[in-house]
Amino acid sequence: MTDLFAREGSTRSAGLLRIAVVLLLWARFAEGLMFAATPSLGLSIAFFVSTTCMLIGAWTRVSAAASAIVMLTLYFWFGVHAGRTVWIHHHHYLLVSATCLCALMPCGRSFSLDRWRTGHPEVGPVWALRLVTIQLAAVYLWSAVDKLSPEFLSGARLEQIAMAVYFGSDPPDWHALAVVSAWAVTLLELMLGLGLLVGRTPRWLLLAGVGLHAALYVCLPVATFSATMVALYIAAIDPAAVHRVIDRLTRA
Amino acid sequence: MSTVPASKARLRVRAGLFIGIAAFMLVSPLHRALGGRSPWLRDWLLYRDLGVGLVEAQFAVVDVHGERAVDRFVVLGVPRGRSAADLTHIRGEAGLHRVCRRLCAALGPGSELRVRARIATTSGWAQIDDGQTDRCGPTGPRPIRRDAVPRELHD
Repeated sequence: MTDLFAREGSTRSAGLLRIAVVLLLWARFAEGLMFAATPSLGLSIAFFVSTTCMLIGAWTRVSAAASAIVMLTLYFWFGVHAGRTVWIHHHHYLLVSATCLCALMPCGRSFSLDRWRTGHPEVGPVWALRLVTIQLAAVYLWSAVDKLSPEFLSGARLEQIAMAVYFGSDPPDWHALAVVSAWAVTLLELMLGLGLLVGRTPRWLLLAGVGLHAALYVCLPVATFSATMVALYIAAIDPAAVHRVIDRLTRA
Repeated sequence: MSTVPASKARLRVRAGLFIGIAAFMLVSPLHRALGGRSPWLRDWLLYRDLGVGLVEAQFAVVDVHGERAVDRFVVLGVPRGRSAADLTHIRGEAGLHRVCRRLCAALGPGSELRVRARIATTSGWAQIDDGQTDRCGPTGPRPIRRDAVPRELHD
């Protein structure tokens, strides 16, 4: 356990996460925070300044921490406390959590203005990447626990969701497929949750997870949820392997 | 390549943060699984209520030739599509009742309308009409199922 907190590795995974998280934050929140729509001018300015600095990796330790504070304020103060419920769905919370976890990583040591200015090596503590995989595990495990119910495993809930999104009150007879899909999704979520929790996720399992999220993305109105989950998978891959892949890609 | 090794104090801070945050992420959704209601704590119950309250229904008229299925869009002369959302997506017992009233009016006096319908609830499907009663006849109010009403966010 002590090794986890002392261990250092490539910071490229953290750098990639930082960039992905900011792009997803902009995709989800920028429209509601533009000056014509914002509930607070100060919040909008803080959001755009801190996330811009975070994206380009300028004063990254400070800008990532500032972004985390802005996102916590946005979610809990404006969303939960002030009742702006369009900002407190699952995919919003996941982005807030990811931003906070980025603030705990040396995410400015790669792909950043800071790295270009200081020339520091792309090495840093990797313990916060493990927190990202635990966040992913929590999402999968609690979602799977909720699905371990007769209404979901009987296929009823998937049939109802399909009615809401596609078929309305005249659904086709796809009960058998709904049952198989319900069991497959639940089992996959359990496997992903347990794998990520113990820190052992084989590539095929991660690929299956990417497939699941891709299917959800094209079938259901999931907003940024699927993209955020897949982006966070970077934390489940050995940082040295990510480093090598980027080396290969940039040499090619 | 390596940076300066972290001090013991720094390692303790990392361990404390790690344990605290990990425990919060893993355990806080438990409140909802145990029936708690708090918008301050996140659950991961995804798409819990999407589709709840929707009714799947088949309509039939009974005449001297027996029972025959009818298409509600044809009977009402309404094209399928988004402009007819109350017909394409029948919501709740009340929504079904309104569709039946419109169909009875379009079919004319003396018509007999039978409906086989089930409603999406938070605990699966529930039958709300088994086709045994004439929906154009005098019918009393049908009870609204509480579990067929989508919950508000964090309810």
